[in-house]
Amino acid sequence: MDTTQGKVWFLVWLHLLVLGLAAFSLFPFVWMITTSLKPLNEVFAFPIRWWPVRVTVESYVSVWGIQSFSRYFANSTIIGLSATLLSVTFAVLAGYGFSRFRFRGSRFLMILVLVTQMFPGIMLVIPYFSMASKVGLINTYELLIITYTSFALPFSIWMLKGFFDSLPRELDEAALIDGCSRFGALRRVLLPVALPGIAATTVFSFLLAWNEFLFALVLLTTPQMYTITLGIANNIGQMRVQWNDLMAASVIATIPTIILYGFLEKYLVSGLTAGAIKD
Amino acid sequence: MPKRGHAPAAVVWYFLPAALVSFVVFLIPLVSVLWTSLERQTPGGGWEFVGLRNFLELPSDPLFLKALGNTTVFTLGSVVLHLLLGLVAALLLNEQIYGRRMFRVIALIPWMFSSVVVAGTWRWLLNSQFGPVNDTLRRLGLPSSIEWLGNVSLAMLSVIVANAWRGFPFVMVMCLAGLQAIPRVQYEAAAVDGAGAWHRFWFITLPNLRFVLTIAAILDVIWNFKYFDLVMIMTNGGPASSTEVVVTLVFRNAFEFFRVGYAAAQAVIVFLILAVFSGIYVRLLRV
Repeated sequence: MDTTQGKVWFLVWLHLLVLGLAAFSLFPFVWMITTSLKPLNEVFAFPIRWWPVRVTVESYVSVWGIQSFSRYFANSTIIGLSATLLSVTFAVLAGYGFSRFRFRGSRFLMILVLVTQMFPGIMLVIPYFSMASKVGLINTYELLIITYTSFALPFSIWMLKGFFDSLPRELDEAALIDGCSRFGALRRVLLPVALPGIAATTVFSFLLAWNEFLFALVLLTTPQMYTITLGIANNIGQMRVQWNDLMAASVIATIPTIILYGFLEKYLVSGLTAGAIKD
Repeated sequence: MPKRGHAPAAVVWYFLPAALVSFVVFLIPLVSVLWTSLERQTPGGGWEFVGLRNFLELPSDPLFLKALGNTTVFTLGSVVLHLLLGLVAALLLNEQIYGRRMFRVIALIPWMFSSVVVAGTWRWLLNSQFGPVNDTLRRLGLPSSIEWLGNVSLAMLSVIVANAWRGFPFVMVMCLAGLQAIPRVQYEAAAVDGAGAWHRFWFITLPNLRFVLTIAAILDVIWNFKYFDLVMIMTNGGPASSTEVVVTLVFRNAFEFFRVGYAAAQAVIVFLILAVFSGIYVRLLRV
């Protein structure tokens, strides 16, 4: 067999397959964006139009201004940022603790932390709802902030423990000798070095809170308190869906994610795989 | 182990904040739901202890059995497609191709969206009259007014495909990392022996990826078995319960029919099944 010819065919097939994969990944996103830029009569034109003839941002204006998505966006931001701040802080402390102190049952605790990630949300939300009702926390930011803080903790603690494990203990020792307290050593010396790990957990925690649906659905009942996922889900549930508005809302809901990914892609992928693969 | 700089008791403060919120959000509800699964609401609004009666009713509840079957189909279908697509994508994007970095970013795109956005977008893609999927079929002269989500025999397939799109990038990222960890010498040795591409894949690549693929598969089984958002929004379990999975059924029982004790029992079954897979996962990680 002619190897050069074989190699050319291999490259042709390879690139065709890659293009197919890219089309598969990209198409729903493209369709989302083009729909969001269509006026309503083009959304429901038949035969369908793949590209808008008249490009318009009226859906974005409508969704943001009239349909209170600015409110949902604000709710999601408040909840997401607070939960991120708390979970990263708590996870830094616990991750450092697990990394530096060995005590009886610490291994068991680590596994327990890992396993809480596997709990089905639907099982927890049943008693959680009645607990929250009893103390009058339904429809509050605080409730969702605490909830999402805990949801982000297992992954974050594992991730940061791994990160602290990779930092030499001599760093702590040196800081201690220089007169730092244990806590001071963590704050002044280790935190700056652990920044990539902290960045990855930050993104993870924020996106978890930003995208969560089930607990928001059960724990938020007044539209004023809706998060952005709940606002979108509510629109999908309408009898006659205004698809251009819905796709505009979806684009808006994804913008923070795109920004975070672009910003931290490098850390995120290496961080995720470092946490996931170890042998 | 010396703990310079700290009295042993002070170590507690590192764990206390995380332990406190986890206690409230994970541990109390877990104990509480186990208890609720042994109870039933009386017509008067009180609770009575019924022992295992809720659980004993499950094997003769056709809707629960159907949901359990649907969950199995949904989970298996999704995991198999995730592994296949993820592995193929990783193999392709590990080759020397033009614009490799750009294609890697593009392949990660499905990962960006929340489940709710994915569900809405796929409902629109699969819209029988105005969706691009049916329009493509129409242009090819194929049957083109298919009700993807309104047809009892197609709805589950449609949800699985949407889920395949959403979830394959995770497996791809894992496999890419795994591929980069394969020592180059193994391939060089195979090249000396004159092994073809298929042999290299079967005897070097796949064995080296076995651990990564196993971990990804188990995690994916766990995630999809308890996955609520996509089915809830894409089909709401319909049509005619053809996509009803256990978690959406639990939701309905608890928050629509208010059979809270019974819902709790069904949720506990999900928990027990996941506990088995979590056990395997912990074993594999050898932590």
